[in-house]
Order: sequence, then C-alpha cells, then structure tokens
Amino acid sequence: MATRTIGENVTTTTTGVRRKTFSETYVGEWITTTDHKMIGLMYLITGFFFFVVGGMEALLIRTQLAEPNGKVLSPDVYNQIFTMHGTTMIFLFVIPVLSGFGNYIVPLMIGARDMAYPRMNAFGFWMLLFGGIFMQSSFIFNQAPNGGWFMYAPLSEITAGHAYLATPHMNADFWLLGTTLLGISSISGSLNFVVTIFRLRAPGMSINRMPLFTWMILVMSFLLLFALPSLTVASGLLLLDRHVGTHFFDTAVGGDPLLWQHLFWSFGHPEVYILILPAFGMISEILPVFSRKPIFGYTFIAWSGVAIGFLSFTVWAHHMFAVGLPSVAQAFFATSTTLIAIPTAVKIFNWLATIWKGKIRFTVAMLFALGFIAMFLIGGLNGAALAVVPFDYQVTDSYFVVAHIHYVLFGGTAMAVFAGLYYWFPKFTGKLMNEKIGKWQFWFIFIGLNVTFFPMHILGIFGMPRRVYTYPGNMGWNELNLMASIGAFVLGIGVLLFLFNIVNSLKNGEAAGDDPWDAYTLEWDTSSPPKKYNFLEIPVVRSRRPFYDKKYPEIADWKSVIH
Amino acid sequence: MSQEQKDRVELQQSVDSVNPVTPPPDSTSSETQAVQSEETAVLEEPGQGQESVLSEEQSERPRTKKRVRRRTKLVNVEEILPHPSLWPLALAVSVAIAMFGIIAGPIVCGIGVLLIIVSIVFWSVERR
Repeated sequence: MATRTIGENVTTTTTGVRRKTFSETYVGEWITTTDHKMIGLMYLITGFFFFVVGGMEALLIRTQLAEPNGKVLSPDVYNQIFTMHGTTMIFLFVIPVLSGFGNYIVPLMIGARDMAYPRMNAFGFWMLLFGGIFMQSSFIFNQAPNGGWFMYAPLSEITAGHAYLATPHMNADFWLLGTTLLGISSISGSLNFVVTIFRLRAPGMSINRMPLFTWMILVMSFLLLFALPSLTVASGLLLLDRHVGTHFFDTAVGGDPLLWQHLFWSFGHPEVYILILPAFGMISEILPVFSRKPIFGYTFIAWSGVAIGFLSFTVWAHHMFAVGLPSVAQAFFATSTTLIAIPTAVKIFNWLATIWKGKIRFTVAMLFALGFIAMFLIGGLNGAALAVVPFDYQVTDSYFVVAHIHYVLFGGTAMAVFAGLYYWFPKFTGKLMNEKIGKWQFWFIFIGLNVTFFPMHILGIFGMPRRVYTYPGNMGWNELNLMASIGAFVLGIGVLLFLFNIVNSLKNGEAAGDDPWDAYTLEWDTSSPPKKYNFLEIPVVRSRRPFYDKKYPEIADWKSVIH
Repeated sequence: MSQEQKDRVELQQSVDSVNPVTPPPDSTSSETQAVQSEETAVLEEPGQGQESVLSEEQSERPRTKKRVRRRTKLVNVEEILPHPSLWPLALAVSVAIAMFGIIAGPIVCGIGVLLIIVSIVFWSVERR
C-alpha cells in the first residue's frame, strides 16, 4: 500500500522505498508546486531579481544625467532604458513582490491551508515569469520598448499621420504583448485572492476581524480586476492599429490619441493604489507589533482603504490636465484627486496614534515602517499639489512628477516591502535577518532616496523635462543632477547591503523560532517555516488578534473589548 | 479488516487522542458556545506518515479527558493539499509562445495555440 506523508517528499510502500517521482525531486518540487508558500517565495525571488535589473537601469539613467551633455548612452538606448526601468519596477518588481507577500501570508493569516485555486495560483506565477522574460528579451533583439512606461499613442504607432514613422519596429509590440501576459497573471492572482479571502477564512474570522494586510490585498485584487481590462483593451486596439491597419489612435485619419490616454490612465491611476494599498496593509501589521499596542482605528483604516479603492477610479484624468480638458472636467478631477487625500490622511493619523505612547522597539522592520510614513507623506503632499490645475500646468511632464512618483513608490512601497521582508523573513526561512546590517541598509536607503529624489522637485520647478536624454550646461540643473546621481549610487549600496544580508542570514542567521516578534496574527501560530498544510487544526478566531488571545488568554482581546 | 482499514482505525484513535479541546475560559458567553459547536477539521494521515507529523504536535498539546466539541469528519490529506502539477507551467509557456508568435510569425503563433489546447486538455483530465 502506498502512503503519502505530509511535509516529506519520499513516497514509501509497505515493501520499501521507491524512486522519487519528478515532482518529488528538488527542482521538480519547485516547478510543479501548487503550495502557496513556495509560489509566494518564487514571486518574491522573481520580484527582487527584476528589482536588481530595474535598479541597474536606474543607475544607467543617473550616470547619463550626472553631467550636462552626457554621452554614456546613445539616445535610442536611453529611451529603451528609461522605458524599461519604469515598466520593470512597476510590473515586474512591485506587483510580483506584493503578490508574493500576499500569496505566502494571506492564507496563513486567515487560517487557511492554501489558496482557493492552487493550480491557477501556480499558473499566475508562471505567466508573470514568462511575461517578464518576454519583455526583457527585447533587449536581445535591440528592440526594447522605448515609448515610456505609458506608451503614449500616436508615438507608439507605426506611423504618425501619413508621413512620419513613429515606432516601426517591434519595440512597442514587446511592451503591449508583455503587459498583456502580465495582465493575465495579475487577473488569475486577483481572482484567487478574492475567492480565498471570502471563502477560506477560519471559523470566527468575520470580515471585521480580518488582518489589515488581508483587507488591503482584497481591495488591491478588486482594483486589479476592474482596472486591468482597460489596459488590455487599449493594448489590443493599439496592436490592431499597428498590424491590421485600423486607426483608433491616429488623428490624421480620424482616430483620437486621447482615447489611449483615457484608457491607459483609467488603468494607470488605480494601478498606483494597487501598488500602495498592500504596503499600507504591511505597515498596519508591523506598527502595532513593534509598538506593543493594538492598531488604532482598525475600522477606519480598513474602510479608508476601500474608499481609496473607489476613489481611485475617479481621478485618472489628473494625468491629462495639460491636454486641454474642459474646465468642468478639470474641476471634477482636481476635486476627486484632492478628496482621495482624506482617507489617506485617515490612515496616517491612525498609524501615528498606534505608535503614540507605545513601547516602541526600533527593529529594522519598524525603522522601515516609520521611514515609510515620513516618505509617503512627502509623496502624498506633492501629489496633492499636482492636483491643483494651475500648478500642474507648470510642472507637468517635468522632474517634479518624477520626484512625486518615486517618493510614493520608492519612499512608500519599496520601504514597506523592506519592512515586510524584515518582519516576515523569519517566518519564510526560520532565520532572523541581521539587524546590524539591516540598520546600515536602512540609513543608506533613507539618505540615498532623499538625496536622489528631493532635488528632482527643484529640477522640475526649474523646468527640467522628464525623459530628456541630456541637457546643456547653462540651465542651472548641473549640481542638482549630480546630487541626484550620487544619491542613486548611495541607494545602490543600500540595495547591495540588503542582498548581502539576505544571503548571509540564510547561511548564518540566528534561528528565529516560531514567533520572534511576539506578534498577533495567525501566521505566527505556525512553525517557521510553516508545514505544507499550515495548520493541523484550523484555528477558531474570536478577535482581531487571535494569536495574541491564544498566548495571553487571561488578557485576551475578546474578553475586554468588542471585536 | 484490510491493512488500510486498520491504519485508518489506528489513525482515528491517534487523532482523537491528540486533539482534545480545552473548554474556553468564559464558558457562559454566547461566543464561547458558538466556538464549542464548531467542527474541527483534522488531518487524516494514512500509514506511516502519521507518526512524524502527529507525534510532534502531540507533545505540545495539553491533554484532557473532557471532550466538548463534536468532531464529525476527518479530512484526507489528498483532499486538502492538491497534487503538484506541471500543467500550469506548460500552459504559461504555451501562452507566451503564442503571444511571441504575434510578432514572430503565424507558425510560431500556431504552435503556441496548439500547445495551449494540449495544456488545457491535460490540465483538465489530470487527477485531482
């Protein structure tokens, strides 16, 4: 009789040990896995690999711009590099890494044994990997996308009007097809998250008791489901323009390039919240644990995330103020954009109230979480400034916008990702990351990102357009550009320290134990790393901090307050 | 009684012994009563594997003779942990080839579509 043992990969018979099947070998196990934890790790590894790729592209950009009249790259290669930097960081780093955390953590947090559709989960990961390979392989053909990460038409058409060639080669095709592949990955992942969160929560875990990270992954998944079709449609139409001869975006023959902008940004702005909401969720998990307090204003934080999700679909045209929208439309989109600052501020005030008078432990995860609040605040405030139409006219498509997006996505999301990794690394691997190296990394990254991106505000106000290949030496931009380039390399050192810390911790890290942070949520109620089946018994939840209740039954949350 | 049936009986006894339920501290609240009526999903571990998994859990749990919860169904490992599968990877490769075919040529695209169909069929008929 053949038997199967959970957590072991040798299949035995009553007569002895038989040979392993392919899926039981080391490589085969990774390739054929349907386990959410292994898939989550693969997402993380892939995401950080592309982070390094996108980071090297950023260093090339900053090297080119360090001095006026730079000649480090050719203009065409420069266009490819800045396009692929944005595309890689958004589609191949941030989304995969957030999906990786979601895949690994969400089922554990809600007391489930796996995602609802494990095979579709694996499919989503492989689509991401091949989508990424597909996009990056364009460099091999020297035809990497070169029209910016939002691929505006008619620049991305084969011809602009009757006379001018715009993007005649495959550059734009790689981008359009690559984002479609990545879109399939995101849709399958999002569906899985929604069904998992709605259907597989542990007994007693009402929606009002879900961990906030799970809440934000849920909102993110809905945003992806509703926003991505717009990009897919836009990509399809542009492909038809390019290869079948339609003219959806070609003004010269009755098309409308603004249609591309509307379609792209009705995906693109929700996308910004897709990239930041899970980061909000991570911060909402980390701050209470290292402040030794329950989260302040749980309900407000959860529902402000939902409000941000709804509002994110009403703000897209603030990217298009300069195209000459009617004044009513400008007023509407300026108002809705300003409105979105309210739920965002609700979160920030609740986080501050959470750490207020807490017994704060300044671990690396906590440092990154605090750094996140400060940096995201800057990114949020200059975003609110961009919602003011006259100001937007002045700085649109300038380095001010570049500064804004980097404060949101690097100062915000990337800082939260680092915080999350230091926080959950012990659960993933059973090892603690080195705190000393981590603190060095934090300061390199914190200083590096401010030295890099803060001067870009001033450059933007001084009129430096984004995406310029180079600039003359008499514009007053020289010192600020040099400063930004030095900061980029400081950031690079911080990232190298991070990679070293991961390798070193995997090799020599201190054993973490199951609950190194004295945390509150269910993932810490499993072994580190968790067994394949996660929980021998599905836990029963009675408050928002189920693991805290279990550890401290005499002062359990469900005894003292209504949860 | 076959060996498998014996194993299952033995496992049932083992599971019963390692999953005692301590009554919640406040047994008068309505929430506690709700918890008591919950059915617990317990892993069924056929054969030798039970020892490695269950015994270490066994040592961590307090024992009590009083049984409060009703345990009605054992869930088989095969039901809760899906088999590994190569077909998600195969389907993803196929879709990528088909997409590449859009710019590389109709033959590549056709191969991709064919592989997509094959992957979907084999995925569908694979034993769950």
